[in-house]
Amino acid sequence: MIFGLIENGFYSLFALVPGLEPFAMTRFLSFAMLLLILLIRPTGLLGRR
Amino acid sequence: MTRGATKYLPLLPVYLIYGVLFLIAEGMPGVWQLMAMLVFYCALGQAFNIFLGMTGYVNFGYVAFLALGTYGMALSIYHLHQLPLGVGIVLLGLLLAMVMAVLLALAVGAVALRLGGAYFAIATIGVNEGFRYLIEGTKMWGGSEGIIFSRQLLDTFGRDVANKLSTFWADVSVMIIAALAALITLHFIRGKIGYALMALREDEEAAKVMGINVTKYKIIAFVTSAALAGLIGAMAWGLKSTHVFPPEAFDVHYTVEGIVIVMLGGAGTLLGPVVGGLLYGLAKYWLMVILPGFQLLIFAPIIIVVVVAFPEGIVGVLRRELKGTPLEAFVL
Repeated sequence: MIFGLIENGFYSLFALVPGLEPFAMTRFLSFAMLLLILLIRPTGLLGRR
Repeated sequence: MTRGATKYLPLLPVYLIYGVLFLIAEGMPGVWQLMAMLVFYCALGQAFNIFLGMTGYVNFGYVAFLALGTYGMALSIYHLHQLPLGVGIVLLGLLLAMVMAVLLALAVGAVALRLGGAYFAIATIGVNEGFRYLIEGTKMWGGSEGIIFSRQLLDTFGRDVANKLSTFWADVSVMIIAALAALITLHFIRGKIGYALMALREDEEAAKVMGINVTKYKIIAFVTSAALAGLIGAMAWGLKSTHVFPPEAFDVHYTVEGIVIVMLGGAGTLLGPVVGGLLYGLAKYWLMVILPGFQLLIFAPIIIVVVVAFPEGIVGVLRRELKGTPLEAFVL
């Protein structure tokens, strides 16, 4: 749910910026989020530390 | 023979194989493309082996370095073709390819090398895919349409020279890069770096406790492997095909092929990736001819057989069998 909200929200934001391809940028964002999660909290929000 | 010269004996079979491949391709008509494919796989395997084979870490985003190398060559030729640089434009392309791959490796290494095991593998997939979508999303470097620079190459060199560059010299350059990768691998295996990488591959925590700076050696191996990948991408993909297209350039199956080649031949060995590249390339070519469309099916059985039957690879088994014989000095 959280991922879906972020992705949809950012798709709309990227669509407003001229010169950006929103679908590709949203895909980029999802992989950037993956990297961030792996670095900060690889067990996830509800997982044990 | 002096000790110094003896150190280079393991390079003999590697260079002999490349020499024979070149002579066969030059002497027999219609075989050049097969030779080019085999040399590409050997080069890919050798470059990949420097990181995967020596550290045990699997970088699933390795193809991003090849892609960046391709972009380096493409950008050099596309934007600088009007300058009177002649063949310097190709050399600049090679330099740019290497620099771009190294910069990405440093950026990725600083982040992903802090992770271990499966997390590192997942992170590197993310880097590859993320970088591809960044290029497409920001429309930089041609975006999802990529860059076609055949016209610029023709304008700079004329039809005959451009043709020769894209066919003969691109493939010979890949062979030279493969030979360079072999020399670097030997230097790593025989030197302090090799001992450190072997220690961290066996047990990273124990290596740290022994005082080995594992991060430094991982980054050295990672960046070296990436630099070689950039050079290979620049010549084997950039100069040879004269275009770069993101979905092709960042296709993860090249990374999987690299993994298969290294594991089949023998991870961490010098001769292993060459043997793996030859066997894999010949098997794929043979299947392309007799069962077109099914050649990719060989990945899975190869990986399964290697992991189950001989995890040290073909050259690993060969080294075991040749231990104590005079041939041992030539197989590393």
